[in-house]
Amino acid sequence: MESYFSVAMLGVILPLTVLLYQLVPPRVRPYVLLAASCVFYASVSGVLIAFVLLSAVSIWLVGLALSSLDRQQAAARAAAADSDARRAVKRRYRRYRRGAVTVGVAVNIGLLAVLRYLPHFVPAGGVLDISGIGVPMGISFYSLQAVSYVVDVYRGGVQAERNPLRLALFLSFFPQVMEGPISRYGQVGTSLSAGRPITVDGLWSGSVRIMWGLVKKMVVADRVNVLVKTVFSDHAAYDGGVIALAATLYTLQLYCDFSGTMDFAVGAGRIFGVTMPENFRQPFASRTAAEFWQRWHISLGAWFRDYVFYPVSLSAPVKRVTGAARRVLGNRVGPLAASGIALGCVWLGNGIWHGAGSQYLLFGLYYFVLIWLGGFAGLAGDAICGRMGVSRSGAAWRAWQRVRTLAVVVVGELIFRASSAGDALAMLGRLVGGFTFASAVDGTVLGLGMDAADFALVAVAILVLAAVGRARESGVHPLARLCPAPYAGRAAVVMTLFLVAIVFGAYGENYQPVDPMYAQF
Amino acid sequence: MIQRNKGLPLPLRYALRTVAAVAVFLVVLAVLSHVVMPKNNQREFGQIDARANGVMGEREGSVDVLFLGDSEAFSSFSPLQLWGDRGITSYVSATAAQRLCYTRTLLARALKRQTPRVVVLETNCTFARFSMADAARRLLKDVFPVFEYHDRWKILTAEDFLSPVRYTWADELKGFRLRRALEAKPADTQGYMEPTDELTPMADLNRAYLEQISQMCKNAGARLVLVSTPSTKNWNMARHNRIAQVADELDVDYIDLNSGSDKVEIDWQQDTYDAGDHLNLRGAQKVTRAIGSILAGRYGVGDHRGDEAFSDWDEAHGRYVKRLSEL
Repeated sequence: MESYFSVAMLGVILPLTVLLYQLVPPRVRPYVLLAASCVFYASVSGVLIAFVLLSAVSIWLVGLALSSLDRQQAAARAAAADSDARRAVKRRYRRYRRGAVTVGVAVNIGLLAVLRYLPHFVPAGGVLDISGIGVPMGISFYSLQAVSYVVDVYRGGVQAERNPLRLALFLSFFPQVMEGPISRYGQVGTSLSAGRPITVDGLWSGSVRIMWGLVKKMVVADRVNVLVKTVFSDHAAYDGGVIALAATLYTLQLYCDFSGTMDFAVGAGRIFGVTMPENFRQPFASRTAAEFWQRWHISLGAWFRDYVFYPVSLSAPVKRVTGAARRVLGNRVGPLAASGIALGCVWLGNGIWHGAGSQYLLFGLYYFVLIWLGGFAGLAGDAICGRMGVSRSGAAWRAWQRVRTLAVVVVGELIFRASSAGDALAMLGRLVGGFTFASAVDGTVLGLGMDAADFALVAVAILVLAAVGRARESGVHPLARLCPAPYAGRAAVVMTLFLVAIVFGAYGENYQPVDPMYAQF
Repeated sequence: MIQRNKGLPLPLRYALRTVAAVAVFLVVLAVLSHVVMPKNNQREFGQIDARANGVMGEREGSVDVLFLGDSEAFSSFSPLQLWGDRGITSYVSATAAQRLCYTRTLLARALKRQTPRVVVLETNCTFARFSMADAARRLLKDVFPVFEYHDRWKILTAEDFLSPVRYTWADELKGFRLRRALEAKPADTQGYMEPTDELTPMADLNRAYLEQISQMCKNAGARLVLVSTPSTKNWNMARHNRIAQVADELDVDYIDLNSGSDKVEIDWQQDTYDAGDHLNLRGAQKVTRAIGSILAGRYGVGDHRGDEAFSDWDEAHGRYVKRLSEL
């Protein structure tokens, strides 16, 4: 599968869509976006586009049903003779509404489960073997969007949409359908269907953002690909030092590939006047694993928070457990202990969402344990440092927390990238038990697909990314700052970024560009 | 000037600025292309596919026959044997798994310095599929070599910024490859060239590129000849039928060395090193003898032996014979 940074997308689909979008009347523009999205989707997944449309139809019908039930409930309550009758009406319609939203969630999660996971568990050639159908592009992303829509309509957060084509565009909008971000209808629905004109500012800032993503993907993510593939595919042949290097480079690769793709989604959105939610916020500045997940793949974390963590936490059985834990363990430790139930559901779901492989379950378990136990450790640390009078707000402590979290993240990504949980554990074992710098000293690392110049360029890229991240942490976006510049300045920025990608991009004879990494999830 | 521009309508002003920005960008790309291009056509200078591009290092106008194609071509045609047998000067501009979009590029490069009388296109590559994106990428590399040689930023020297691009190197074997020359792995000939009326489909893009290649040869005064070298794995009657049809439509000659009157008697037990996919040295010698006879007989390609201007070919042939004797 080609990434968004392909000749076809950057040279044909996006420019033609921009041109056509601007030429047609505003009310037709959303349909231009929908047509472009369908063409793009069909060009990658062919007839499997039917599943996206099926999801769109399902949530459209459920939204209409919920809206209709709301009206019926209001009428029935108005006609009710007394408060008992009104309560009965409320109970009855709550049941109906829950039934409707359950159908909406079940259809979309069911399609995801059947198309994405069933082939992993049924024997090939059997009656239930549907692997021949294939997996629709981005099903893990648009299914969560579909669920968020029906739940938001149920909760009253958004109005039910009457036009099914708008929902089809919401699910299939081409800059985001492959890898997200997992947006909510309340965030993008209005702007997607507004048909706003393309502005010079939007075009420039969108183009700059896309070029920034292109540089991250081509200069860094593609450059480290050969080394990462070489080591992870034959990890038993390498010592702990090489495995640590590969895991670190993979973390960098995943960040540059995924956040680069998000730069495309946000940038293309800006061109069409659609503000896509940000999916990354300087994740490597995190001081804890929990904070990392508020900065990395933000839209997925927010989805699990809103549609799994809170509902589970606020469910009657868990509330009872929390109350009991509070009584036994106290007001601070009790709720923390009880939060393990909801947290466990989140991380089990997060792991499974990434795939059916055992490494993803281990990945989910790893973060569950870290974050849950991290809460207890934080309480204990507060108490110990408080008694000893040690400050936990100094620069040195913050730096230590960041280094520690980075190590935690690299280990997590090692598990994530491994072929199985067994491989991940074997690699971790060698990382701890067989760590040595021998491969770096004898030059073995230079024979794994990256030469000295490649390493030097990656080091420069890390420094640039760190500087940009630091500026953004301070509230300054260097790229956005350049956008109010005169035309020549903006053009120079876009062209310079493009030229950097052309000259320093890892493409051609000696490289294997990485496939869009999150498109497989 | 600035005042006048401010009087222009806004869209026109933006259009003019965009044209200016694109023009600047293209100039920068052209400059970068010059900087990163290898300054000579040797592998040591960073030349990609140096052997196939060695034809650019041959003396201008000295090559009478140009062979194009994929590994079938560089395994089957030996220019130095052709020189020894017939005094024909030739070069094999072939690369592994060559696509026609690259064949077109290699032909264009060769035609800049050579005026071949005959261009032989080995037909296996005419079925190798490639996409519009592949073709676009190839075109981009041809127009702006920075897309092909960008990775030379790692080894740039002052010379890269200051020196012109020169082509002075040619492959010792003129593009022929002595791969596993004396090895033999018998081929399974069951079904090989069995008669059929079927036609293997040829992609529209491949057909369009064949047409372009044919036109380029006509414009250069060269005769394009489609040749299918013997291969039990790659060739069959359905492919033969398709190429015969296309050759007819393009009004070019087609010679199939697998069947008919031009068939080369290949010993499929001895003359292939990989079970019928490619020919070994024995097989290549048979094919080269046959193609030499065809080039001299049917196309009147001249004999340059004894011509002082081509004495370097005699020397190269001497080294070739010595090298074969040492195998």
